[in-house]
Amino acid sequence: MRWSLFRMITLIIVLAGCVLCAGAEEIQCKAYELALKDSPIADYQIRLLDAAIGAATVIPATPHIKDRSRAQEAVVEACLELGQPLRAYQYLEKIDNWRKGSCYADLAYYCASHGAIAEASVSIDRAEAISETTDDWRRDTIRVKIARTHFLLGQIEEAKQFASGVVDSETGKLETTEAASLDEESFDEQVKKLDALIEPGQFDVLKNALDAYAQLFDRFYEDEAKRALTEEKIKSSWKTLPIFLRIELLNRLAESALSRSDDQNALRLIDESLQYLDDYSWKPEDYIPQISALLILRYRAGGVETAREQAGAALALFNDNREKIVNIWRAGALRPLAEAYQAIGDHRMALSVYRQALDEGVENPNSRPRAEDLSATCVSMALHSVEPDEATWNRIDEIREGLGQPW
Amino acid sequence: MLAAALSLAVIGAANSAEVMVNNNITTSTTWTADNVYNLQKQIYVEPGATLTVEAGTLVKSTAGLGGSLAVCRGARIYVNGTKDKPVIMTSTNDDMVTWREASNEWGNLTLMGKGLISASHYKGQPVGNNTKTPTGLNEKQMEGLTADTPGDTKVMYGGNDDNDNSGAIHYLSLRYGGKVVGLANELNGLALGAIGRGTEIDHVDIMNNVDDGIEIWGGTVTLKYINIWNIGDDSFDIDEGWRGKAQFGLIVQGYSVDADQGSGVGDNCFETDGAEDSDAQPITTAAIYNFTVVGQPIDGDQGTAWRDNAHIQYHNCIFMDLGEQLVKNDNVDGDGANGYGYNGTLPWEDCWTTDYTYMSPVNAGTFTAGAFNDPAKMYTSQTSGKLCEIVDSVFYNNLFANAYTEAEARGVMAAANNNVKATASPITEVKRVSSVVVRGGKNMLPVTDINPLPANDALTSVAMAPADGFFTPAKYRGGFAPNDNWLAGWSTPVKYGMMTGAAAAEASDWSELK
Repeated sequence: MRWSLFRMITLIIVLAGCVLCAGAEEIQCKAYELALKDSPIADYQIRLLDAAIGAATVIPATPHIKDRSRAQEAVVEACLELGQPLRAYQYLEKIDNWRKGSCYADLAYYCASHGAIAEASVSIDRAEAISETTDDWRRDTIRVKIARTHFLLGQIEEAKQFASGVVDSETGKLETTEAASLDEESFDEQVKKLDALIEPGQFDVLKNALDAYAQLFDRFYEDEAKRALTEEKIKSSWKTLPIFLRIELLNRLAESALSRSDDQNALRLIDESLQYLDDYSWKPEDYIPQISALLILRYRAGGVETAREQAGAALALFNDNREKIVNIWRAGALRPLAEAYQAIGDHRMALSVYRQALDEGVENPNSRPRAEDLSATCVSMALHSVEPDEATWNRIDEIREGLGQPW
Repeated sequence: MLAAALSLAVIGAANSAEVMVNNNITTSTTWTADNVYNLQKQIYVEPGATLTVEAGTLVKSTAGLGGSLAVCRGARIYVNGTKDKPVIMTSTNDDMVTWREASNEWGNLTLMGKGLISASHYKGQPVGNNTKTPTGLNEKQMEGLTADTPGDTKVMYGGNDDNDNSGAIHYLSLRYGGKVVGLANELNGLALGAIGRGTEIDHVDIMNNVDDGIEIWGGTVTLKYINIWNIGDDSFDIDEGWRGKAQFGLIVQGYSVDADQGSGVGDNCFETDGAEDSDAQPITTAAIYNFTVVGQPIDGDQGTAWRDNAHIQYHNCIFMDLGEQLVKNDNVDGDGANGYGYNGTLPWEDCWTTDYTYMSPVNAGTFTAGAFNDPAKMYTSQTSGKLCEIVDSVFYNNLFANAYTEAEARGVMAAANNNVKATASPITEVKRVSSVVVRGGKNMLPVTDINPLPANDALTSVAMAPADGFFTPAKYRGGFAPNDNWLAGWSTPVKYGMMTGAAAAEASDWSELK
């Protein structure tokens, strides 16, 4: 849809307010700097993040504002994951649509979870202002993120206010945050609450409620009865969920088991997940990311050789089917596999597959998909601590410099 | 590259170059208003490429050749028309100022995306490896497009991203289209396969297409300000699990050529299919607000035809001059699907009494797919009421003996629905020529002049669309606010002199492009 003139003007005013009020901005920047520090990370990771935001930002806003902003948001999210709030703040200011509000909401959550209350509040205000200029699902995405931050800050009424009336896809996400910090006495009450959310069968609410159950599984992992109950709740309620979401849930449960060194339980869940994967027919570009996630878990549970074999098989699957995969989607299939190689300790193969992803990303003659792939690959390498060798840096620079017409 | 793909010839009268488009668009390019583009074959905008069409650009393809334009998954199109400078796609026979009895002279505009579709079966046979459950892996070959090689992905639509972005279309006029090269079937004026809600479509005008006006298969695309006239089949056709929204539309039924009904002579105003097969998911679940529907009073078909579990809400609409029923339960689509109530899905009757929040458990094992983390959602268009409903609308001059029989049986006329059977016209003016008898003895009364601004019971409504960011709350019935004809300036009926009222004077000057 086309934005109404009113909303366009309002957004311009809001964004301009963020950018142009130099004095206030300086104070806010200072506020961020006072309370928050970027965590130390390797120089190459910073260089990769810079390359990623550079590649995303060079995409022309007209007409590619949506693609550009989505790619930029992914870099901001990576910054927060790597403990780089100031860098995230610098980068998010480059975003020119509603995703800037989404990023401010993410930053608010980060600030709140790191004790920077004033900065969280400033970020919430900015996120909220942008949310009011945008569409239904976009607005609600921001509002639920804000609600989660309020909850984290103990501002329950504000949290409920932001979470109420949002679209169904967002309902229940607040409960996930609640579940993470639930005390022993509140468990039964929370189960009742989640069961009530599950009962109507509304898909999105159900999905979020099961996410909350996965959180409870983790929170009360040491309590065998509660653990069994939450796993049973998930499995008895997920028949309306798609396979890949069931796999995701199982993987999360396996993750919880691994974090307690309960390898036996983890392997049971991983095998169950693999069974779901193998029972369905997937295109290679859909299968490879899923088996990659699974083989990482298997490796961590002690299945080292099997994990390596699965990685090799996945790479062979890609190479055998390369021509059948549209060139703009090849790098997206390879990145998760490179991440998997890194996770199982095969750094040489990780770098090799990343190089392959970089090369596949420029098979298409147009710079929009090239820039998106370059940005995503740099983000992935930064997040998974893969340092490019000189040849890879040269390739990244070469691709970056080659971005231009035709977009 | 592009230079090799295009050859130029000068057409003197308009001082613009005619660009013969012979090759697919693999690198992003812009079509400019100082050229006229002539599609010489089925042209694809291939994955990764972006086609930008400047305001005021004319795409005028050789009549009878079948030139056509399709945008593949992963490609983009930006049609940047404006009210004063629309983009026009038509045939070389179009003199730009006069309506003709014609269609099927060039192809169409097809967009293919990565939204979810339900397409497990066709004519009773499985479609590829597709499933009834929405794994996100379903895909289907677009109607009327031919694969170059087995496994050719250019012609396929469907995927797992309901937020998919195929670009933006603003102020586009499509005329006299529907021709397929080398195949027996026909193309729809605007074909939207699995288009996601990240795509923008508004101010689109379709005149005289041989097949459907707009057909949507699956996805979540939204449409606003849509004008559909003299369509040779269904004016607005929905299938394979569309879960989008539409608001502000005008449908004027008629005929484009003397041919069979469905291939030149109008069939249904809205034809809505749920899924293929009918117990598959996603199921069509959509909300349509503020459409003015002017049927063919003698031999037009249904106002709304329902098949295979379609769940549609019509709010604040006008249905007038319908040839047959306001609500017709066709039950099945003739493509081998099994209709309402199949395999434990809701029976037809129950769809009209079941709250919009109902979620069918049938084939919900893989109920949805898509980028939920971006954030995706499946069924969000309906936010109140029942799965199927027609509310707060005006019905006028629907004289078929059973015009309201099924509607009444489904409770459409219950007081709570705020519908009105009007005794005075809900639009300002409509004029028709006397009878034109076409093939099969079908009696057409073509509209020659219309002023669609609301009158009488359409001037206000009880409720209005929610302010959800897409819908515009509009407290009236039909597609037009009093004193605001959004067709003014850019649309075909205005240019062809078929619009009366103040809008008639606002036709853009396109004479230089004849």
